[in-house]
Amino acid sequence: MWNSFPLFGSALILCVMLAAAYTFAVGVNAGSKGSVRSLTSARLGAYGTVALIAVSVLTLAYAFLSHDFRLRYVAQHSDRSMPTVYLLTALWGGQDGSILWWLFLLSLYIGTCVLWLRNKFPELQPYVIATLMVVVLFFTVLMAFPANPFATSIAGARGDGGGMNPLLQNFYMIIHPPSLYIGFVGCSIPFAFAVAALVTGRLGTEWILAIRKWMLFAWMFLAIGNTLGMLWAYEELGWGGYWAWDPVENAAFMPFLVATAYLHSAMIQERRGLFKVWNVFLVCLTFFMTIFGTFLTRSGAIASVHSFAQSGIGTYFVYFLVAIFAFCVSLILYRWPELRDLPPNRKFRWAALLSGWLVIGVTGPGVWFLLNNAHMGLSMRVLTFTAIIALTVFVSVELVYRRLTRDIPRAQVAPYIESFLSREFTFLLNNWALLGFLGFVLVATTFPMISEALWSEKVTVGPPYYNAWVQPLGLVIYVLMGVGTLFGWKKTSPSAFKKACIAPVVATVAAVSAHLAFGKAIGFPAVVWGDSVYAGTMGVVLRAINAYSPGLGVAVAVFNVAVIAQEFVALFQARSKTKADATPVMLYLGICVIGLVPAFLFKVPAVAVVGPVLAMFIALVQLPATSRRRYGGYMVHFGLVTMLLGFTGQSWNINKETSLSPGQTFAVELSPTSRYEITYKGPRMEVDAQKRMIFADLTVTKNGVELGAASPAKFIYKKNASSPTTEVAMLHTTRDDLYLVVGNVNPETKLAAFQVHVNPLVMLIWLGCMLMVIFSFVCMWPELAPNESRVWQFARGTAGAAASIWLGLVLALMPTQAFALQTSSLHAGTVKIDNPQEKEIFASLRCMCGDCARDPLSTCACSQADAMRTRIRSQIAKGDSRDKILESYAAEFGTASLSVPPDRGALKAIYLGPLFLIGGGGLGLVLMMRKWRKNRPAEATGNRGEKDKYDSRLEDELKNLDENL
Amino acid sequence: MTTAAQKVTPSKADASQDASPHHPASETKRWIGLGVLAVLLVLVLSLVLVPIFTGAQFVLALVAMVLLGAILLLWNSVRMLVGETEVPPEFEHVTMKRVSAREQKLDRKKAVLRALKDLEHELSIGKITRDDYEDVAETYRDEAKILMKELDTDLDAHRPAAERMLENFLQKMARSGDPSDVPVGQWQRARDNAGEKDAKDEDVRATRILDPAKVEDGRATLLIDPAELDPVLLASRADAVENDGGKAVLRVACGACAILNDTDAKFCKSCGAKLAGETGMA
Repeated sequence: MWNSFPLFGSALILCVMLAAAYTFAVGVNAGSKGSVRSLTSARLGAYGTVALIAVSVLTLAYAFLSHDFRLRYVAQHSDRSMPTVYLLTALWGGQDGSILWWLFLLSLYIGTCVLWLRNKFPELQPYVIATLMVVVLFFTVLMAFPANPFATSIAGARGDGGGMNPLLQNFYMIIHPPSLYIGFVGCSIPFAFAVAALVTGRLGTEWILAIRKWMLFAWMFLAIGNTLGMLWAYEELGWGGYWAWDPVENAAFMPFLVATAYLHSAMIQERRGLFKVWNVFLVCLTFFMTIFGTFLTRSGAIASVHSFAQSGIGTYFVYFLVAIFAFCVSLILYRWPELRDLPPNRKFRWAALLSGWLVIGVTGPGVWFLLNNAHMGLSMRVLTFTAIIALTVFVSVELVYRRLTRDIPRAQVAPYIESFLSREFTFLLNNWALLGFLGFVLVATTFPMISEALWSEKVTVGPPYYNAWVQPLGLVIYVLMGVGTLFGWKKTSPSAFKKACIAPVVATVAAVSAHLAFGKAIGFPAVVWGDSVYAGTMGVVLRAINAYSPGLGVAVAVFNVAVIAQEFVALFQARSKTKADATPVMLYLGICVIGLVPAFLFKVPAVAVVGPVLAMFIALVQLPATSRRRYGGYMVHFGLVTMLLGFTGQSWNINKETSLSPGQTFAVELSPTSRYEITYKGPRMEVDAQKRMIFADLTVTKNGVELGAASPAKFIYKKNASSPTTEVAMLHTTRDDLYLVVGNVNPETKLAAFQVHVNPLVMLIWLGCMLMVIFSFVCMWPELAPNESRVWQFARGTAGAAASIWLGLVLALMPTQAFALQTSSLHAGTVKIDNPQEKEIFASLRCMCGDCARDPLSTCACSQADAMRTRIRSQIAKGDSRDKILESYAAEFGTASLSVPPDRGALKAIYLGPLFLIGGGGLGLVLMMRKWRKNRPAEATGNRGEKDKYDSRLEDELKNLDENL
Repeated sequence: MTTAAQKVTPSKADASQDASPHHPASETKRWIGLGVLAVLLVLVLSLVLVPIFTGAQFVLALVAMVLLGAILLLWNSVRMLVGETEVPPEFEHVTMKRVSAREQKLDRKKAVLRALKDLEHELSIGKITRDDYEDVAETYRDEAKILMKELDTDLDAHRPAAERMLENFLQKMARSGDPSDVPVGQWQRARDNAGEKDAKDEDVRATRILDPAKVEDGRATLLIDPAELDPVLLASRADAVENDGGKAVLRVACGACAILNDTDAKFCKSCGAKLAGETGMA
């Protein structure tokens, strides 16, 4: 048996494929025939498939633990010296294993979902199972052919494996990829329900309610995964930043944006039955984006620090994406009448299907021909093709329907909103802003491919471009978040709205005034002028907006906090009037005050947030389910606002470089009244079996108070003595993080070069994420059925709440173990930068050595980058302007060597395209709302206000409504 | 004071109830049992296998066990598909319906009720003035009432069939003599099968058909007007009334909330009120 162990693994993959195919067939049979027996059989088949996938993962884990180097994957990603925990993380450390791990997480979702479903949603259930099995089938096909983790090495078993990339051997590798995968994979369940709803025609609120918690869970893990990625980059990659707008980071961020848009628009369908097409589209798009993101990571289509080895796997993903697109388009066209609340007769159905596929048939070949002539790669051709065709199909079907349904009464009331001053409208604005942001990121991420295909010009889109554009777009979303909270459902009375605006606006004006007056004195000025990314007018405008963004960021954050606080005050007042809340206010205040004690004890002001969070928990647990979702959502907003303040802190970063002799002190001015003093005590060398370690011992004081010791270091490994690694020392405080890096240490004079980075308010980013996670769980708390036994209800409620609080806290506090470390390895090396002008120019240019993925000269530590920096320094010394230096660099290495595509000719499409789409979308939204505003339902106004026997029944049903939700 | 229902010895009823796989308590017990078994299994594995085997061997043992489980599950799936095993009890009464106009109306009604509830909340927290509230709420109230009327009208066609079913059922009860031998129908069991949100309202109403306190000498008295019954519910469950082999399970109605409880219950399982017969039984 042991001789054929790799074969056993490969056979398992084929067994999973067979089991999934069988379960798919049985599921479809159950759905089409309405057979309960087949349904129960499909459920067992799903469990069996899940168990087989678990066997596959355990088998690979066994191969790692037993060092079975016959397996190519094991030989490439582990060695005998690795500790067990990293042997297990190697399961997802490479491409083939990560696909199996992906499938394993999907199987956990499937198992949980099937268990949860029991005999609920019997009509949807067969198709949910069948859809999930198709996803399983796709991943098993990947593993059976191009990415088999059980494939053997052609050369036979090695004595020892290659080992894992040292950059991956840290705590974040254990938690970051699984968190993100859980988020990605979690989007499959809502997608399966959307497909089931489309297949069965049950497009009411049933499937929306069914997936609410699943989507929220996936959304939460996308947030956690992205934040852990930020934390990892911040602590381990050595450039002191947390988000580099790398294509893979963007790929993980885009589904998060779509899922956020869905979570808001679903509430409108739940309440008004509107946006059926839109919600189905968003769920399908979220799933599509997760697969697209995986494709970006795996195919090597775009250079990225995350890219796995190049392989033929990308083509499989492209075909899967096309299949998803074709399937979803067909289903949506088939159900177009139901989605538009029209009678589902054959005429409408055929009209939709024929017009849709006719458009594809007629325009498809032409578009494909044009794209072929544009010299695109296959993957790019297919993606552009699907985008163009999807838009054309939607427009043509809509036009055909408008013609057909001109005089036909609608099955239900026509789309209608009471007022622009309503939560419905602001939710739509929120969808518009989020999707606009998504469009912007998507275009920027894929622009290198677009530019090369259409204009044969290679470009790079680096962080300076994103940072310049994202701040104004992000602020719009935050403003809408705050303003939207002020509105109520259906209609907000203008007088009430004005009244609601007073307190937040006063608070904001006060905060802005205080910021303008005292910001500079505390080291957080409201206006920070930076460099322009473009030379022309556009550059001037962007520079001005970004200069004011710190002040605007603080203003928007204060506005949001004031709005949220006001909402809670109004809620408590309303509840105290009806005596719904029996908890005395003093209890809440008491908890808040007690929460201050640890903040004083540990001298960490951020800990003060514990008290209010606990009080909020107690308050939220007492609300009815629907209110808990609403006010839990506000607290999630609060977490996001906290993160905004953290992001704003980046504007006030301080970066210094110095060389110190033992005994010397270096001062970093934070503000006119506050400063860090860093005293260099001297170097220290230690040696172990693997390496020599040269530490530079420092003591750090802030305003005369000693903060502690820090020992940044250089590690020189015997195996790789020419590339010493750098150990960063960090001191975390609520106000800022002090990030210390040691460069060269002269062994004779003991003179050491240091980089000192002060990153203000970074802790708020992690704190905000924790709040988001904790309060997302509040929104997912179990809803209790009214007629079940009180004891059972109490037990289930308590257990559910306790489990969710525990899980929320564990997830939220997960990174603290790594965050608490005082040092981290800076495997990328260090770059010496003498002044801000150099830094700005280096950040605008990309290292063109060919090995560094997209690293700018400001962070790339390779020898060619060193040579380039020396050359540019000499150009600066000669007095060359920034533009001239960039021009000469681009002339030598091409446009791709610039971090920001030049603002000229067709390349302007990178921002004009998304801006045009955002503007067009906004205009379309306003026109649509104006039309809907006029659609007042005629039937309901017939006997307006007439009392009859149904009034008392209506009151009864209203009374029990919340209990039945 | 003791009522007739409280005098009924609970033995037979309880026996049938305990044996019933539909009862939430038995369901809960089954799950708890499985959970305990799983925990014990993990404990045994941890305590026995880990000291004996290395980490890798432990994983290999897990592979063998999970593989065995997978084979069992898939084998059972095939047996279920070809009809060699029974459909699990919780799926016995599951039906897969096509989406109907009535369902769409119910969906719409729920959305309208939600809208009214939201408006109430917005009024309470001051987001809408009383005048605006009344204006908007009136529209939704009217729409809700129209939908309720339409839903009622849709049921009229089924009403005669439902009334026949009810009559048939009561006659059977009357013939039986011993109330505990009477087929009680699917609604009674559906009531026991707690956790089904959709069936809940209908079930609660259906259980109120019988007043256990008045089941004496094999005669049952209706507590509510048959017109209040949902005929679709009764009509759709007609087969179960005729053919179901289950026994009647007697319940004590709570004086406070009218929910039916086990005959030996001391407090109501829903509202927690002390049951009237408790002192009598004691």
